[in-house]
Amino acid sequence: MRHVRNVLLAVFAVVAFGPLIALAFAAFQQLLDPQTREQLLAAGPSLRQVLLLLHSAAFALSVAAGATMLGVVAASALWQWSRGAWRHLRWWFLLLLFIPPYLQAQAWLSALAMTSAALGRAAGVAGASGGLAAWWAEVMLYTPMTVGLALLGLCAVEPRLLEAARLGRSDLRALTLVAVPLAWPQIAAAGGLVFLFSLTDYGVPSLLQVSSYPLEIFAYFSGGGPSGGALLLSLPLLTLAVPMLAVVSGGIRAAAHKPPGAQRPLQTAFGWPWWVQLVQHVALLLLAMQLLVPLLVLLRQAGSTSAIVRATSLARSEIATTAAIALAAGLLCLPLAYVLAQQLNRVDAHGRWWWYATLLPAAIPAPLLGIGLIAVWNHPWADMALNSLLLPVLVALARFAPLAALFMVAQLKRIDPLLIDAGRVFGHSELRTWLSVHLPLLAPGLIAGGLLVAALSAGELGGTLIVAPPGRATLAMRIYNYLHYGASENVAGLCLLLAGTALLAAAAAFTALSLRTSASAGQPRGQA
Amino acid sequence: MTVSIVCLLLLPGLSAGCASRHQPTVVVYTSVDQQYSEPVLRLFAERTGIQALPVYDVEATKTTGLVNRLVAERAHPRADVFWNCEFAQTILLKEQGALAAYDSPSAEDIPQQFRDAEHYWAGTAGRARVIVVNTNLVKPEDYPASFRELLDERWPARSLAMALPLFGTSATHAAALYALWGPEVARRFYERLKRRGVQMVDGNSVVRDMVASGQARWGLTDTDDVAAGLRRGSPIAAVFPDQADGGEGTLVIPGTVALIADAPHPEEGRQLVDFLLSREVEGLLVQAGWCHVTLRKLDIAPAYFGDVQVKALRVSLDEAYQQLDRVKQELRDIFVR
Repeated sequence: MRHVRNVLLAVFAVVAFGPLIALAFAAFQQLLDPQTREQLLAAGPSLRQVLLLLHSAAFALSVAAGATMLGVVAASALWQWSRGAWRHLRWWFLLLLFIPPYLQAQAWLSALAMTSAALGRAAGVAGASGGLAAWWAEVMLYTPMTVGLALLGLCAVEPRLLEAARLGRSDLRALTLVAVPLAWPQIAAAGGLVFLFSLTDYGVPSLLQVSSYPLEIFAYFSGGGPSGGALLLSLPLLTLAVPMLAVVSGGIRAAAHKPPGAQRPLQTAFGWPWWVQLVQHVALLLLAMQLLVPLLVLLRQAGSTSAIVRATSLARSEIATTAAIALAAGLLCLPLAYVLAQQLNRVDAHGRWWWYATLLPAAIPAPLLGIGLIAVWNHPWADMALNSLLLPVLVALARFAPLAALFMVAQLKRIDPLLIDAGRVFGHSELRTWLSVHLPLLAPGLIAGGLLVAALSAGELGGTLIVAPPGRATLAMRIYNYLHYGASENVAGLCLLLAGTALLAAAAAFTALSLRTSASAGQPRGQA
Repeated sequence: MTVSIVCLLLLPGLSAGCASRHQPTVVVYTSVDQQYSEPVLRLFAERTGIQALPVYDVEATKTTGLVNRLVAERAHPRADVFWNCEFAQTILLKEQGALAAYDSPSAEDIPQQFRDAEHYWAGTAGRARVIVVNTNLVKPEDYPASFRELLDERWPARSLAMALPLFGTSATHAAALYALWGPEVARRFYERLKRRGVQMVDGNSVVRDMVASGQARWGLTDTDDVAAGLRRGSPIAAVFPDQADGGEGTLVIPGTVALIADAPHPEEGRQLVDFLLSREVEGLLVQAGWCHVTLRKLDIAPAYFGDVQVKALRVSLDEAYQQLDRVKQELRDIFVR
């Protein structure tokens, strides 16, 4: 088993870091070549780029702060939904993470324009743009992530500590003095993740006319700049990302080590002051609107179910390709995520490095990943692979397998070691113990991780476009093609199809985790 | 593990549906919208029995994804033909050594200024830069006649829109102005646009959508974007700028077709190049509404615009291209900060 694990870890290293190493090698070659050296050195850094980077970092920090604050408030409200069906329903807002961000921002712009037109306002003042609009759009986009992690943290707080605090202090003081500090690693992780995602995104800021450092990288690359220069321009982003990864990894480790459901519900309901309740309700309302507005706008643009059927029929081939990529990525990520999760669970010094290695691909621009994959695979011996869907699947694995690994860490923590020992005592081989004991216990995490990767792979664009085999296109590519063509009803129809499929997949994933959680909740270890 | 191994084995099989084993194929990378290029490639397959396997670019990647891909694949090309919706990236590929020379017989009657002197590429019917106006918000007598009116105080800056001139045809337009006016004058023009606060948006189709929805009164975009809006009934109209006597005209952006160096299917590639450069395909694209300015006399009125005679900017494609590097560097300094 150890050999298999080592092989799989090597495969992950090749998938995630092979393209980066190839790009670094290309950059080195370009540096040696007098023809490209000048272009490479012209990439930067300049004072403008440094200021732009600082501006982008400040913007990402402010987005992280806003989304984290809003997330904590909403999580404090959802935390109270701890009994019966509400216990599971409180996690369903996470489905928002699977509607493409660009699409959500566009839906909000359309909604604003429609509202403005309905109110009969003059033109030229209807649109939203600028730093404040971009900040608000990103805060709303990333709030589901912060709510999720903050809720994980709050659910992991030991109820006895909280109840002791509530004996002598108000509920609000108990929240701020006990619950939030105890959940702080997860909350900080949420802020860190939002910072990373915001720092590396140019799509939404660009839509709202705000410049960002990733736009600089893209503008350079699109102007015929060599890939090595684009990689060099990306290095400051990676430099900023590394310290943030330390925060994120610490938080997620804490979250993963105390899975939700491990604690019993509180005995008595909270009694918040009226103004706290008001703020909580506003936060929940905003969360609900973030889901409803894009869906309603898309439904309106699609016009009718027949339009959705027509759009689907026109894109049959793209749907098949997308399904194949999503299925393959969802399945292939599982063994990689499993062995990664084992490393992430390590408590020694190496464990932390594995966290960095796992999360680092999140800070690499997707098109660069695609170019790196071409550098690795574009050889005559790999023609069969190049003509298959292998490279789009590898893009998906490099970008999303680490997220599946995070799910798996939580699942590994829930496995009772006594059950594994019992399997060994009964004299089974290591493989048979793994298959008959380990695998069934891991199943919810495997299902959740696989579905998550499948859903995210279905919407991937930046890297897939660079490596898609000739004659094959994905649904995301078709959607963006329609967007330019102006066929808004087809765009809406396919987006609804994509979002609906992603939502179903995500719903299945969370259901799998919830069922496992509820099954294990309240059962002392060793009695399962 | 078992599942993963099965999946790995399945992957090559997933590509088997692309083309039958014995059917000849040709691989074409194209930035022409799929809605327009797909029927043309299907017609080519019907005529020749050669199946065209396309890879399409999208505006979301600023239609530069395929160019970067072609450069990355240069050592072992997978594409046979590059069918581009503009010319600057094609010239860039020629300079990078990614194209092969081919003097297509179909290009014989294409005017010299739209053909590479060394036969690395040839032009097809093109699009033009136009002003798109919201017909509900601007009366016909008030339509702007020149894109210089982007600086006219009678229009509030926030009611005007154009695509960020760092990508696509917006960047090419800037390069043409650099060549025509001289770099200093053109740079000052863009600096004034920035200072004035004209909306710089994410792409030409976004400009069209903003004007159609009333978020802007008018903006600068391409004819194909306006055609798409007119097709869906948006309240917009196109104005070809600077067409009056003494006006300098507007930028016409021809499409380009080129054969890839060391292409895996060179013979099929040449056949596709011949087909794409033919008068028939030029006519098809004009009728479909993708192109609006023909390079040859075709007696076909472009869809949505009628039989307009467009006065083009007096700048050669090569002169515009030569400015592109400087334009992108300087405009990044102006707009990305």
